[in-house]
Amino acid sequence: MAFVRTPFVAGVVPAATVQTNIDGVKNYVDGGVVAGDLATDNWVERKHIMRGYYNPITNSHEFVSGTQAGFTASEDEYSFICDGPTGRNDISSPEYNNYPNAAINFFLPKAADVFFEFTAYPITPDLPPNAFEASRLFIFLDETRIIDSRCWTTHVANTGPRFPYQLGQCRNPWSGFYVAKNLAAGNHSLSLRGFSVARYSFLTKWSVSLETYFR
Amino acid sequence: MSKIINDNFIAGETVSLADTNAKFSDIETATATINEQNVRSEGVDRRTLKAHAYSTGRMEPLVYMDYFSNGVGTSAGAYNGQDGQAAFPLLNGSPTEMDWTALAGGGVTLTAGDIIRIHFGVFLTKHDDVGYDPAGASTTSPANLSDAIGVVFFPMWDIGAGWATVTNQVNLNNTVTAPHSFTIDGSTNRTDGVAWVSLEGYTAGSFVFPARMVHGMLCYQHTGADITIEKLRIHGRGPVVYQNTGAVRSIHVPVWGAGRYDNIGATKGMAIPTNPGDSSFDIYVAAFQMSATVLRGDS
Repeated sequence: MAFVRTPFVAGVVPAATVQTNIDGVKNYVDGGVVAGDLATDNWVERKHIMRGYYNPITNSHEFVSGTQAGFTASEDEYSFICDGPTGRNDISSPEYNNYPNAAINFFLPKAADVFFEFTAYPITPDLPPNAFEASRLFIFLDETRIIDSRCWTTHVANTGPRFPYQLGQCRNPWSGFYVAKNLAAGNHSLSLRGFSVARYSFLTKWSVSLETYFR
Repeated sequence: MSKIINDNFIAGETVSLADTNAKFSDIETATATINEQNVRSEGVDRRTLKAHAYSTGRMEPLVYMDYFSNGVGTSAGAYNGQDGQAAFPLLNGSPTEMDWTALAGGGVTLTAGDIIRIHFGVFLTKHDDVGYDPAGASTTSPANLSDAIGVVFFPMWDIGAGWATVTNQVNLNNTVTAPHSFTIDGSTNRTDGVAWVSLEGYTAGSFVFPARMVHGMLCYQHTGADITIEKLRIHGRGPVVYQNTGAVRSIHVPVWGAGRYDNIGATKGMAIPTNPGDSSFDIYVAAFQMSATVLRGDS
């Protein structure tokens, strides 16, 4: 017995006590049931479980326990941002632009824990004299930049005896993740955005994926 | 039809104390009465109702999910004097670990069949070896191989006996005397959860900036008796060298600045670290984050 009723006593029936009992029942059903309360037979069969719903347009699959979604770039597909509207001349307040096809829009019918991860392979040609910090990428939850998700591409020296052999050493594949705990019900988006102080930055391969688990 | 007879109030009825108490006491006395008739229209079953870590309850298959980021953004913390002989926990910023000891039961219990997925990311900002070059191919020697030198990051857990390596992962947390090789394999010395960061980067001032964000991931399916995970955090080690001699693969801790990496005199080798007499590195880490997702397996 994990649910203990708050009794109603003589006099008015207080709304607060009603609510306390309703909340208690909710918590009891939602994880507070003790083993002794459960019957030992007559349990659910697989046919009773609601099937998931697959939406081919957004490549999302909605289950009883949450939603899964994702996008993987196809062969010869590229995502691309330029320095023009983002960070030309290494401005102090760059404009964060979406990497196209690198966002997931989703709807939560109730609050959930949300896990998002990505992998991307950026190439950013240099634009002297902006030699070092060529382009950046961040995860955005709705319009909030997750600053600790920062990824960089950096300058690749194009002179010296190690060129072009060191190209592979100096290009950083990007990968990261973010968890939004107890994200409120409603429409949301998780996206990859960034800016470039070089000519441009494009992704040759990338993927994004989303898992949500309802609370 | 619900097995628990839970009478509802109807608009216009007079609410009485007896009826109000009855509405909740029937649930209070539900001993051995909850079965599929109560819940199947909601698409839940016995596992969904089972007690677990969240006091407010979670839906299957998730048992528990947690995340932290150290919140430093671009500000880097220093880990000075690193030579690979000892591991170091990442402690810059706050928080720096997951602490589940305040949960009911003092942690999250893994039962045989349960799965924990650990993700972590670390941004290695810079190190102090200006001139760092792992050698390798060049226009004059295109066949030269570069040494696989880097810093490794890996998750550690506390399951009630202090910080320990996750089951079947190579124990990179031991302090050793160089030269030393950690043998790695695909059974009890795995490197599934190790994230490797190269040290190449651009030079600015007295530092080299790899500026790399690395993303590590470890999935572990539990077997055997229950364990309770109390804490999780990220440790680092390095620089170290990946070696493969054919039959044996290892993560090697060399004597930096000596032997193959000699940085003194006319006969010096690859000169790592670059400055004569140096034998360690100052490493700077900025943002790091970690998540853990515990999923019910067949328990």
